[in-house]
Amino acid sequence: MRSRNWRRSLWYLLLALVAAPFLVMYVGFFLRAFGEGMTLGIIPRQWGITSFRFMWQPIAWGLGRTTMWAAFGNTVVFATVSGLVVTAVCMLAGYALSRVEFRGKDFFLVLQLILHAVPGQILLIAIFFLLLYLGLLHRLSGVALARASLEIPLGIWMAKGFFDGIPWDVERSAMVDGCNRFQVWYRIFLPLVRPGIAAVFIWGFLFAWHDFIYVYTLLPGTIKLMSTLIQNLLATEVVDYGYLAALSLVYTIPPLALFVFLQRALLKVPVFGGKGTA
Amino acid sequence: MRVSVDRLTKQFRDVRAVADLSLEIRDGEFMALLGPSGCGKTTTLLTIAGFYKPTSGTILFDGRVVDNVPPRDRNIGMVFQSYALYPHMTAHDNIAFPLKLRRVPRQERETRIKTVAAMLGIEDVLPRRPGEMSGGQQQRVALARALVKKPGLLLLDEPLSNLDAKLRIVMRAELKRLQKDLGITTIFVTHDQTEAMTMADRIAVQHQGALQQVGSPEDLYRRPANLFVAGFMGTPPMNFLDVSLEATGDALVLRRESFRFSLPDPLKQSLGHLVDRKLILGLRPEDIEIKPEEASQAEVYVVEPLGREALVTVKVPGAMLKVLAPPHIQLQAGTHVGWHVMPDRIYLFDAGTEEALLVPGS
Ligand SMILES: Nc1ncnc2c1ncn2[C@@H]1O[C@H](COP(=O)(O)OP(=O)(O)OP(=O)(O)O)[C@@H](O)[C@H]1O
Ligand SMILES: [Mg+2]
Repeated sequence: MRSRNWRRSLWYLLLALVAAPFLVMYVGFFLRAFGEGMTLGIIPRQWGITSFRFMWQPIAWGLGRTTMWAAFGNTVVFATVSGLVVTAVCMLAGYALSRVEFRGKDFFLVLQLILHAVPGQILLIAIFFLLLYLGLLHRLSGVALARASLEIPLGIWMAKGFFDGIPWDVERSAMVDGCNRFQVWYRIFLPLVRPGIAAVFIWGFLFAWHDFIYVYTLLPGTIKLMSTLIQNLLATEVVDYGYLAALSLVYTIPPLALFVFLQRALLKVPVFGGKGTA
Repeated sequence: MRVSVDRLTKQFRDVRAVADLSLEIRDGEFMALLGPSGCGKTTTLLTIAGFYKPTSGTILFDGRVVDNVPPRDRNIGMVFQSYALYPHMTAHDNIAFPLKLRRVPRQERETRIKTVAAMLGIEDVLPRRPGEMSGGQQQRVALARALVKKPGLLLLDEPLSNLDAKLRIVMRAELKRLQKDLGITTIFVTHDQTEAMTMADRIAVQHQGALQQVGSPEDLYRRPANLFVAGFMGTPPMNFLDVSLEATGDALVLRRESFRFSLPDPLKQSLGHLVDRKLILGLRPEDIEIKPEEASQAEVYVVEPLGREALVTVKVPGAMLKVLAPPHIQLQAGTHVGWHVMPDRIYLFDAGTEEALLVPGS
């Protein structure tokens, strides 16, 4: 008994040590954002919100100026469009792959995994030209589309997994009741995979929200997103770390808020009645 | 609606789930599709419903080939073993769903839901979701959903198998009554021969995909076409003994080790051509009589009182016999008893083809 407790404590100590750098980082992050006049680089003299002044003051951008809100708005649009596209495509494809028999289905599924394994950066040049020819280059919506395409392969697998969980008999019931395939999908399956919709949307949203490389390369300097804004501030000569920390904090909040919100709204899983489903 | 299944075969890769099955279901008839687990009952039903395309053969509704009609246009109601209610809808909305799809006006919809809910006694559960209902309630809601659209054909896939024993007996009677009142042609899939016997007008027995026999419950019980049907119909099941038919002098004797059974005169003539054939003797548990006052090689193995009677297992050389004995006979395990069979109650089957050669009353 004793030795077990000992061993346990040892484990916790080890885990604490591993976690420590991250904890220090996050704590430092908050201290910087809300502290003013740092001593020893980390202990604030006074609390305040002057670091958040970007919320009501313009930000210098090259020779001109911009506002945080413009970048924030662009990022919201970019991530939302990407999330919606991922959701729409994956919900349709996931249903088809779960329920419809067609030739090349297994190949298609494996292909999605392979596609997912390809790093997005490799595709950058190809996507550049693709968007160029489609006339979508330098457009927020076009780049959002490209960004979405990167998350679709794994999103399809996620969606398929959720649809696979619905018993065949439920689908057959719906068909006997008079549904066509689309109605089965829309009226029965979508309500039943609401948690799946939330998960896939968050998936698409999150990756777009945090994206830097795509928006940096494929968008002109005049269209700013949060990630390019922060990069821009880092690249100046005198870096105000408090300012940067505050901005990063604002950057982190929306995905967290979305997570909490969608969890409340969508993660109510309907319970299948009956026993012995097939 | 009249349903004809014409030489239906359904093959899944290496499994032949339904093999050359032909079946006529009359208008308004209650037909039970009976067979052991895995014999292809559900596959047959799903093919009739239109979810599977036949590998070969056709299905006709009222003489019209429906092979290319999708399930939603077949005018069928279906209840699945798992009930398959829509979990995100209340019972009311579950029942309303087929009517909404048909664009039945709201007023009429509500009236029809009310009628069918009253018929099945589920008015109370209408506002509840499937997760908040008992198995029996879900089953009724599923039935209501199938009936509310007034289908021409009702397909039921083991709808009672998830209910407890008591409720099952209640629902058995109610379902039968309901079917008669509404006059809907019904195909009822079950692996429970009691269910099939008690409810159906006619029973179709299926085994390894193939149809064995179709007939009234009485028919199948009294005149089984083969060994499989004989063994499947009736609880406890029929006893089978391997025997050979021998001619001794001018008597015909069924023989198995020390057991001898002389065939009475009328049977002698009709079975004379079977001498020296390998046969299987079938004896129903209720047709064997135990004589405690006699002694033979038969030994009482175990006695299971059933209340109205007792199920006695008797060990005879090389076999166990199940016997239904009246409760007043006191039997002890281990005692030797005599046993008798009424000559006009025996069944005989060909040991090779398993076809019935003799059934009582023929
Ligand atoms: N979709 C399918 N793909 C491949 N094989 C199948 C499929 N559906 C059924 N089978 C096989 O066909 C045979 C008959 O199955 P079926 O479900 O019709 O039996 P059942 O009589 O309904 O059995 P149970 O009483 O257990 O429900 C089984 O061997 C089963 O494994
Ligand atoms: Mg089945």
